[in-house]
Parts: sequence; structure tokens; C-alpha cells
Amino acid sequence: MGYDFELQDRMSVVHPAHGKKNFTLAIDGRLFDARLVPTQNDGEFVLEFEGNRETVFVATRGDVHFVHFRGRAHRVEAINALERAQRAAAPSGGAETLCAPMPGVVVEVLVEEGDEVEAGQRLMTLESMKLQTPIVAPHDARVAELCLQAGSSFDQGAVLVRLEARDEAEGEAE
Amino acid sequence: MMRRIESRVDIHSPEFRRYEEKNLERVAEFHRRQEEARFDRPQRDHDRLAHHGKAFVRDRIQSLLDPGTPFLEFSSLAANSEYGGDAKGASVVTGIGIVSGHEVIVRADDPSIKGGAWYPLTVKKNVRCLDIAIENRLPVVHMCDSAGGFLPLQSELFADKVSAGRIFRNQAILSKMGVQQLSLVFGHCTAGGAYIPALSDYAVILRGNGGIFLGGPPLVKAATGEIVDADTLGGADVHTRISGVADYAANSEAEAILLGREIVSFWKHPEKLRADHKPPEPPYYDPKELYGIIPDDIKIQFDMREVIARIVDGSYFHEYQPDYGTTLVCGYAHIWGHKVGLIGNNGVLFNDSSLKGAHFIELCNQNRTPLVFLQNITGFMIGKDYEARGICKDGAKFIMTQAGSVVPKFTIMVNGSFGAGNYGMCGRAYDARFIFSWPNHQIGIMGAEQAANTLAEVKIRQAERVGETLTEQEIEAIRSPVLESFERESSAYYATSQIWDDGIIDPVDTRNALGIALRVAENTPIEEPRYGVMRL
Repeated sequence: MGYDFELQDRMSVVHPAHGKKNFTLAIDGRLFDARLVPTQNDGEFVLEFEGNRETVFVATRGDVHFVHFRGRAHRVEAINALERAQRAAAPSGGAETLCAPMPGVVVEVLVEEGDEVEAGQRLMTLESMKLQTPIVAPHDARVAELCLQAGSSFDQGAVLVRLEARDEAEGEAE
Repeated sequence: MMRRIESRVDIHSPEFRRYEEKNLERVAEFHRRQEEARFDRPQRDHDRLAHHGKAFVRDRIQSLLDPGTPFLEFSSLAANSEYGGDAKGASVVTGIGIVSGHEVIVRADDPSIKGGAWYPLTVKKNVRCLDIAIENRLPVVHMCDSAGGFLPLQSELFADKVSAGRIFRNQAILSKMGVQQLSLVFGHCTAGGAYIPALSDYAVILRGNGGIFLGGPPLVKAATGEIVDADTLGGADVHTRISGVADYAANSEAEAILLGREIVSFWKHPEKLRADHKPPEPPYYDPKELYGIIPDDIKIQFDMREVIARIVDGSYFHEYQPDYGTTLVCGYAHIWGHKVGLIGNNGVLFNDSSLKGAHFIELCNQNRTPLVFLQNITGFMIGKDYEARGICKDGAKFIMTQAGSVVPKFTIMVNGSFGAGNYGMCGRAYDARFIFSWPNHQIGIMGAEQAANTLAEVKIRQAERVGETLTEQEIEAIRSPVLESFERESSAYYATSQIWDDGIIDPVDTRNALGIALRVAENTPIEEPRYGVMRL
């Protein structure tokens, strides 16, 4: 698998070469061979790149690497390429209808019509077969319509909440 | 320490220069045709793809493969002599590439040609790439985007043994063998095409453009009167939320491909055979000198050892029986570190060379050594003496061992491939794992001139029997159409158009193509060799 790295707003794709300790770096469609050799000192490496050898220091916290190189510190973030593509392709807070995944009863409604909600915010709680299920906003949006009240029962596929885009709603208001 | 072949070619001779000039022309012509088949499309077809937000098939494949890794494409010039040249590459791209560190077969429909419709040769190319997958236990990534069978030619692609049904049969056999398949559905998979994702272990379908249905909207309307749009009938959400025909929905081609790469990264790696390997080294003699070795006329003989010297590691070669049956060169060498037995032609096959070939094939089977056949064969020797000495039964022994051989076999069509020599030297019918041809290659039941003369001879005798004599002009009128059709149909381009091989390659790429082929061939265990009854 390849990794995407973000360095000062620039994305690079890095692929390990097959069966070697070398790495093939694909940067803007060009390929480079590189090798990172650890030294005896903690966090210190020798970077071999295009025939040059340089000492670098690397500190890592999660997916973020702080690289000290030629007297400057760089922040490099590893980003999953698929996640990046999914985020780019996902609908950006548009209109959406949330439907009941199974028959049940509404336990509570936590928002009102016209509320602005954020991705992941709980909108209502359902109960079915002794289990409570939260209904959350899939993305930033505005609540256009609440179709059921607390205590109402519903069938599978019933419309629970209609969301609209924040911009769209503002546009209509003007 | 193996001995190096001592090349006797004088690279400064006028002959070498003349051959080199001719072969560089041939290779330039091949690259020009390949480039055209791969990329040359009318602007309206590019516009149509862009209008639907679709990437060109070559770009899809490039995004799927690990950057900087090789792609061994099969039959890039398939169908070049059929359908008025419309179905470039038979409108499908197939080959071996590396995805997330795994060797896989990529099979990608090309929607820039008639919406990716399957012509009869498209079906043949699809079946062949899945045969390669089965023989070499290679996982497959399908990139589906096809309008379905090309209806005007349906009778040629539907009902026979190696027709469309064989694609799905091969998918099922692959799955039974425990070899994984992934489908990325970028366009429509209609009718039989719907089984490609349905028979895959994993299927990703694109929202919007992706669609899987047994009958598309027009057929549904015609059959039942039901009016339904493609997305409601078999779009991404229908199949990933309701029907379970596909597993993942993606919002863009890029997302689908990255998802595909992630899926492949979790696949098992095949258990490779424990074959004899040594560290690879390049040939001592420059492979580019091959251009000066292959003559400019198919009738001129050359030493196959000179070809071997420019393909194998370090140009080292252990020759078996150097003084017996000398028209067949046999011996051991390494290609990219893989031990191989090479069998090459240095002239017509006689009784002794046939027996030598049969014996060497048995040695390689006993030794579990893959065989590489280098074809430049005009056939088995004919005439009274040779028939009396049993050339038929010695040829039969060569063919018998060759057909019974169980080690992986690879064939390079170096130059001529005529008559039964094609069989003994592992032609298409003998299950070579791969066959690659050079642009100068010629193939046929006999040479064009021999065929024309044979037919003229038959006609002259018929005339003589009724007391007539044919004039020079009449004989020429018999000869010239035969000569013309034989020449056309014996060219490397016609052969590769019919998928009699797995593609034409530049001679200097032979070593790399064999390297990949040898590596993937190690995915399949080798059974015990057994042969039929030898006529001794």
C-alpha cells in the first residue's frame, strides 16, 4: 500500500519498492529512490536520496512526523489516500433524508426544526427490540423537517428527519 | 561457474548493419502500431468519455498499479486485422501488474471503443487472460465498463466452447482454486457482463456511472413493459444496500481505485514453488545486438546461440549434446535468476534433433526446470530417406513428450514457425504458459512460396491428365492469389490479431517479459510428469 504525505500543503505519494529496504517516492508523477537508515542515536537517521546522504532527525506523534533537516523543522502528516478521496467525493452537507433502519418507537428528539447541526451530532434516539439506536447527522446541515415526535412508532424505512444544506437554506431565506 | 557463450557475430560487418537497419524499421513500425492501438481515438470518443466523467482506460490502470512497477500487457494488437481495425486491442486491456505489492492480472474494458462492446476477439482475449490467471494462479482485478456483446456479431461470440460463457466459467474455476477476484464497476455490466462482478469475491460500484443488470432498461421495457431508469434498476445504492450484488459504493473513480488497492492489500500472497534461483545479472552481450542478428530475409539462417547469449543471465549457457542433432540447440541457463532449459532451432528438425528434443524435455521434467522454446522452425525434414528412417515417429516422440511435459513452458516466436515444427516447439495448441512474438515473426502451415508452388503443381497435373498444358500466365494466376493471402495471413500482425500468441514484443524486452512470466509461473505446483506410448 502507498501512503500520502502532506508537507506544507503539498501531497506526495510514497510507495515501498518490492522486497527491498529502499523506498520509491512518487512525487508529482516522478519517481525517486530513497533509503532511510537508522543510526545508533535515538531519532537520528541517514537519508540517502538521489546519491546524497544527509542526517535527519525524526520525532513522531501518531500520523504526524516532525522532521529536522538542514537546520529547519518540517511537519509531515501521513494521510490515508482513500480517506482523502472519500472526503473529497462526499456530498458537502447537502440535503438528505434519514430513514428508519428498522421498525420501532422514538424515545427522544434532541433538535428542533431550523437548528443547525454538525456532523456526528445526535438528532434522535430510537428503540427497537430492546436496543436503543442514535440517529446522527451524517454531515453539517440544517434540520428542515422532523417527521416524528417522541413516543411515535414507525415502520422500517419511515422518514425520520429531513436535512437541508446550510447555504441552500440561507439562499432561500434571502 | 558456468561457461559463457562466445559470440561469433561481427557487429561491424555490413551484414550486421543491414539486418540492424531492417529490424530497427520493423520495431519502429511495431511501436507505431502499438501506440496507435493504445492511444489513438477519434476526438468524439474522448469527448464522450469526458462528458460522462470517465477516465481513459490507460489512466485507470496506471492509478491502480503501484507507481514505477512494470505492466506486462497481453495482445496489445489483438483484432488489428479484423472489424476494419475498429476494435483496437480488441477493446479490452489485459496484462500482469503489481497492485499493493501483489502480482495480479488486470482486465479492463475500454469504453472509448463502441462503449466497450465485446467483439468475438474481445471475448477470446478475455478468456485467454483468465486462462493465464488459472494456469498461473494469479488474482484478477476487473475494471468493468462494457456495453455488452457486439450484437451484429453475436453468433461468433456467444455459444461456442471458448465463447462468452467461458469467461464466467473461468471466473468460477478461479474461485474454486482459491484465487481472488475484484471487480471495479465503472460503467454498465449488462446481461452476461453482470456475472463478472457477481462472480467476483469483492465488487466496488461507482455511484452514477456504475450499473449492474441482467437486462438493461431498454430490454426490460421491450420484455415486460416496465419503465425504469438505469440507476433505479441496478445502480450503486440498489446493489450495495438492497441486493448485495456489490459490496462497496464509491463516489468517484479515484475513490473506487483506492478502495480496490486497499482490498487487494489484504489478499494472501501465493506460495511460490521452491525453485532454484541465483542472483540475477544482465546478459554479457548487449540485447540490442539482437537487431543485427535476425536477418532481413526469413530464408537466411542464423545461430540461435547468439539469441540465447542476449537473453540469459551473464550470457552463461550449459549446452546439452553439443555434437548430436545439431539443428536443435538445447541447454540450461538462468533468466532473471530463474533456472531454465532452453530449446532453440538451428535448422530443420531431423530424426536425431527430434530425439534430442524429446530427451531434453524429459530431463527438464525430471529436474523440474521450466522450458523456454525459441522458435525458428521450417518444419520436420521430408523426403524418401527421412520417411524411411521414420521421421514421423521421431517427430511424434518430440510432440508426445512436449504435450506430456508438466513444467511451465514459454515460447518465443523468434522468426519462422512453419508446419509441424510449430507443434514440436510448443505452439499455441501445446499450452505454453505464455507465447510472445517478435515483429519479424512469420507463421503458417507452410511457407507462402511453398503453398503457391504446391497448388500450382496440383493444377498442372490435373491439366496434364486431360491432355492440356497450362501457360506461364495461367500458372501465375494460380500462384499469385495464394502467395498474397499466405503472406498476409502468415505475418506476425495477423497472428497476434487472432490471439495465436500473447502479444508482439520488442526483441530487447524478451528477457523482461520472460522474467515476469517465470516469476508468476511459480505460483502453481508442478505435478508428476507422465507420457503416452512412445513409438520407439
